[in-house]
Amino acid sequence: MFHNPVAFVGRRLLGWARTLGGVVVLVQKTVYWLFKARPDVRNTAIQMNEIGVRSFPVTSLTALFTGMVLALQTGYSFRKVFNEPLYVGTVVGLSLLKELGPVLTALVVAGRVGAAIAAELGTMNVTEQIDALYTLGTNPVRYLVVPRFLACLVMVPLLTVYADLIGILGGFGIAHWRLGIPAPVFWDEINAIGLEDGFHGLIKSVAFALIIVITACYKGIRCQGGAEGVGQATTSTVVVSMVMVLVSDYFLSSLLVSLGVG
Amino acid sequence: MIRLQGVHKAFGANRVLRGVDLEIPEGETLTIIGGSGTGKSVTLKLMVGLLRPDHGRIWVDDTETTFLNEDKLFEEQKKFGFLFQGAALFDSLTVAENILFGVRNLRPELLANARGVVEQKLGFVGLKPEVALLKPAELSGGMKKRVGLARAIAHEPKYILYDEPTTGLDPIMSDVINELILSLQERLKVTSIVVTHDMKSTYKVSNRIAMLHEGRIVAEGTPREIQSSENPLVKQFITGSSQGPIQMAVRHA
Repeated sequence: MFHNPVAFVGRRLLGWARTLGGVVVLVQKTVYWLFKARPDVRNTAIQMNEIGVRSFPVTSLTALFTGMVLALQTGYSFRKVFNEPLYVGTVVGLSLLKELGPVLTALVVAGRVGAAIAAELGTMNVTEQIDALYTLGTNPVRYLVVPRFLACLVMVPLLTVYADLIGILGGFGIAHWRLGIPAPVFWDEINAIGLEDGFHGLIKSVAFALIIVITACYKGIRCQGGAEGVGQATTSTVVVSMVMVLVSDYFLSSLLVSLGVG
Repeated sequence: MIRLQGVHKAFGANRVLRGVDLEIPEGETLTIIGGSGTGKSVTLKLMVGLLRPDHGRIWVDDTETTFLNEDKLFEEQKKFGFLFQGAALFDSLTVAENILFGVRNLRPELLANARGVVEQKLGFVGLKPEVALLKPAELSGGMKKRVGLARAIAHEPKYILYDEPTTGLDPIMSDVINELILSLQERLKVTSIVVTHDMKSTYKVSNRIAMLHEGRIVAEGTPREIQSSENPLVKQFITGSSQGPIQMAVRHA
């Protein structure tokens, strides 16, 4: 199989091209069905609950402790340099709003929701339920992908805002009670953060939501090979979406900064 | 009438169908037999438009469906009911919701009496109305097949396609499903295409049998003609012998 390196590289390139083409077609069909037919409200609400509401506990825990550790590390590090725990509010606020809030929320959602979507759609595919949808007059993209797409697009930014708030509260707790920073000092620093810094994080969270939902739906719908295939689709959804979130984070940040957003 | 002309279908390097010609007149029950992996299920999926042929043409009634766009194909798909091998019931929905799923999209006018539709279709397949509220996970294999059949006939299709209807069932339940197929033919006067390798089932339900081998139809006839066929491929298949022209993978091992 690997005798001819040119053939091997060619096969890999064709495989990537096919995947990229498949993803583009899926996005195109999703957008088409999003506007062609009224979205299924019941299904979308179920997905919003699954993707958003049920991710709240794990997102809260992640954001709370991230905010806490951020305040702790900033406080002690700056105390070594400046003899005072300066700028803890600014560092906690900016780091959470611009980076950690959107990225950590996206990683939590990729692990929890991306895997669940890929497993559910993958199982439906290998048990012919997706074929059954066609024969019963329903387009699977409309019935399965659009509600998940909408739910992710709405809930991931909301989760991000929530994670920002919880993280800042966690940071405040440590800054105030452990580092002895007066509350008005901390909140003045938070209030001084510009609205565009919040937008910077929110725009990225929308992009991350798109990456996660499209990866998960694509892997699920294209899944083949029984239980093993479902397992592979699930694992690869988590790995691919997490890596893409982290890689795209740099490029998106770079783009947004150059456009003056945050 | 469904007609396939010179249909080819490949998946990568695997050329599954290599020129299938088949015609199924109205009211007939045709059974397609053949070994595992010969493309029987692929043929069914091509008929209903779940797959598109690489070459060849397919007609449903007077409409050629080979190149139809999704909207037009959808109109043709309304004519079909499909019983999948594993029933393919939607896990998250109840039996009633499963049965009404196609009705909602394909025959919404029937929804005025949704409860009646569910009870009538469950009755057709020999299930009690109480089953309507159960989830697929609470059903046995045979019950799942019956519910799958109730769902397939709920929008009153003209053609019913059965993909391995008796696979995985015990002999008694297999015969119950065979009886159901026969009774649906008599009561609903539908055209049926059955894909199976269960010869007992084949003889019981078919008006005509076609055998698929290496991507082509190699024999066609009434059950009686097939039983008395001198074609060595047919003889080997219907007697279930490992000796003969059909080389199964195990013999190369």
